[in-house]
Amino acid sequence: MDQRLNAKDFEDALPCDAPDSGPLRWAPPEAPLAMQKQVLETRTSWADLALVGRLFLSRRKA
Amino acid sequence: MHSHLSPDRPTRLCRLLALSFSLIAAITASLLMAEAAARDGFGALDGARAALIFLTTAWLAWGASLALIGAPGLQRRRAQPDLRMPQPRTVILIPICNEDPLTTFARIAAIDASVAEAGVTADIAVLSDTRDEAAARRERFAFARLLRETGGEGRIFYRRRTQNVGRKAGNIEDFFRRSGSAYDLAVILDADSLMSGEAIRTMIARMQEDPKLGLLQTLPRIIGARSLFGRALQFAAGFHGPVFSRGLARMQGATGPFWGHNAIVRVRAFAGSCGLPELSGKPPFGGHILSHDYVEAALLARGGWKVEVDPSIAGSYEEGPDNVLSFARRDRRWCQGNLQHSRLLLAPGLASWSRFVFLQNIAAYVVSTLWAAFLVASFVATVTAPPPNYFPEAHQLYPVFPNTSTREITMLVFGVVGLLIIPKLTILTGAIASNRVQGFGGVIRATSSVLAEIVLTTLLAPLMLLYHSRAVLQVLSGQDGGWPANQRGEGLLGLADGWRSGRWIVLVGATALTTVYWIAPDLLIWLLPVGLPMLAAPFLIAWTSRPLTHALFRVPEEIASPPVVATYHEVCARWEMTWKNSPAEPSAGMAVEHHVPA
Repeated sequence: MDQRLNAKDFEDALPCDAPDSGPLRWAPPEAPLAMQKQVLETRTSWADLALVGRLFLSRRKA
Repeated sequence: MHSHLSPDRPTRLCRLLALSFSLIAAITASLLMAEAAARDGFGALDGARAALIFLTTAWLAWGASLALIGAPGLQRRRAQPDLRMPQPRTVILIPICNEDPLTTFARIAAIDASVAEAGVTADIAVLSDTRDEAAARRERFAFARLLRETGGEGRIFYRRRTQNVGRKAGNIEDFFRRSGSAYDLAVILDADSLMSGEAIRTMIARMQEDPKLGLLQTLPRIIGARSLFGRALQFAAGFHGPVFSRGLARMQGATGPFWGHNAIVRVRAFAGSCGLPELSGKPPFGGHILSHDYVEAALLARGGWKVEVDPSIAGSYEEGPDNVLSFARRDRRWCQGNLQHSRLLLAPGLASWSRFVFLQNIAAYVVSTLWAAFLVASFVATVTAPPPNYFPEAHQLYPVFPNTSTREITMLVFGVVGLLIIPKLTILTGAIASNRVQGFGGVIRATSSVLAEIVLTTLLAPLMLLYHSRAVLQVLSGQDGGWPANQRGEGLLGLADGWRSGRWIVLVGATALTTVYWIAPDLLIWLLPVGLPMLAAPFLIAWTSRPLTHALFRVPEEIASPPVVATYHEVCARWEMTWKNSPAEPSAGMAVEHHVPA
């Protein structure tokens, strides 16, 4: 851990005392945008495969 | 598939050529192998060998076809459009995690100056995922200095997440969720990226020109390498990279790649298409998607957006690993991420080319394991072969000497070596013809560099084969490699470091050579090109990390430093001086002392 850089050093380093600088802005503008979660995994299960198998067999019998 | 993403005729032709070339080469290799193996009867092991050589040769030929398709004479030149007014709202994103703040923020200062000079209006957002509090304080210190020097208040931002969910992809996603609506376009960089304002201007103009373009990827040139390994990699990326990338661009068409950085995205397209889910199950195959960039490119295509790579955009740079260990560590992460793509091969709605790209990503690492399996199978097949029968028929007066398979095996070896070397020699020939070699120190220096790079990669190939094979086996056995922090500027390694990290390779090489020597000494000569570099692994690891002068592997950026790179070095040198004199000098644990501007 770097003990030499404490909070005071950091505050001293900020350009808050510059004329007309105002409060320092850290974060980008708040402008929310929805990120749509994507579906990547197929939900095929053994039960689905068994169902397909049964359908196939029943059609062949018919 | 969306009609504007359908491959055009030249793209279809390129794909057909590459596939045909790969198949012909693979079939020829496996027929030669089968013919050689059939001398003493064709068994199951011989079938396996023929299958293995088919797959490995197909992969080599596929790589070679990229170079042949991207050959300079085939380049399709396009005029770069100019920026239209009003400029789209653009942000430059720099996700960082435990990076050296001095060099990282010095790069941002250089990019900011270059962007302003190019007449581009863009915000810059540094998105920190740094976990260590002391390191985060140093980042804030560097940010304050950056603002003071650039007057970037209200234009350059720094935000740090308290939870680094989803790693880098999650970091970008978090930005879009909070601030995405404020921007139309986002240039995504890495902590070690440098990009000129002109390059960013060109990218924005391209996005303006084509509203269906969701992502435009540039080809970053590697800069700042100092070691033999790093400089060889830098040279290969600069000399061969553009040709291979041009081949890739021609083959992938509108369903191109995303390499995670040095690219521009349309924010609306990215937000609508690239929200990555966590995969079911535990890592390495479940959990967060590691190689997220390729998945994001596939998802953009699924959403109907074009993804293109343009290697002709100049002014895009990154740094590369400076030694074998850094390279292998990065490869371990990429290997896990790429093998995870096997979970996504059947993802609904993807373009078939995107699925094929996933398959290629998996093959890139699995192929080393296949080569290793081929060597083992060949050894076992030879020692278990029945002894020759000189008198196959009863009452035979003269012996019948069996045909040797030396001719087929030699042809096979020459074929495989040819697939590795011919593309590089073709690129060299093209570079001499077009005078591109001038940027690489002229004909003699560029030719020497190409030959030296071939020798070096040949020496290191057995090491890489073992690193890749180990990574594949680790992932398949369920070991999660996580996402280790980048160790940029790690640099010089001693013999002790080489021994510590390479002794297992020595053990594998020594075991293989000793076994072959005792059981089948005739085979030893075939194994030496692979076995000897393994025995020398500690030396090779240490030796290739040593600094190298600029005499060999010279690249254009060393002959004439691009303005953005020169500005970066100037800022770095200035900051380093005052940084050390500052009461808040952030030297502890950081790589500042390793940084030597070129």
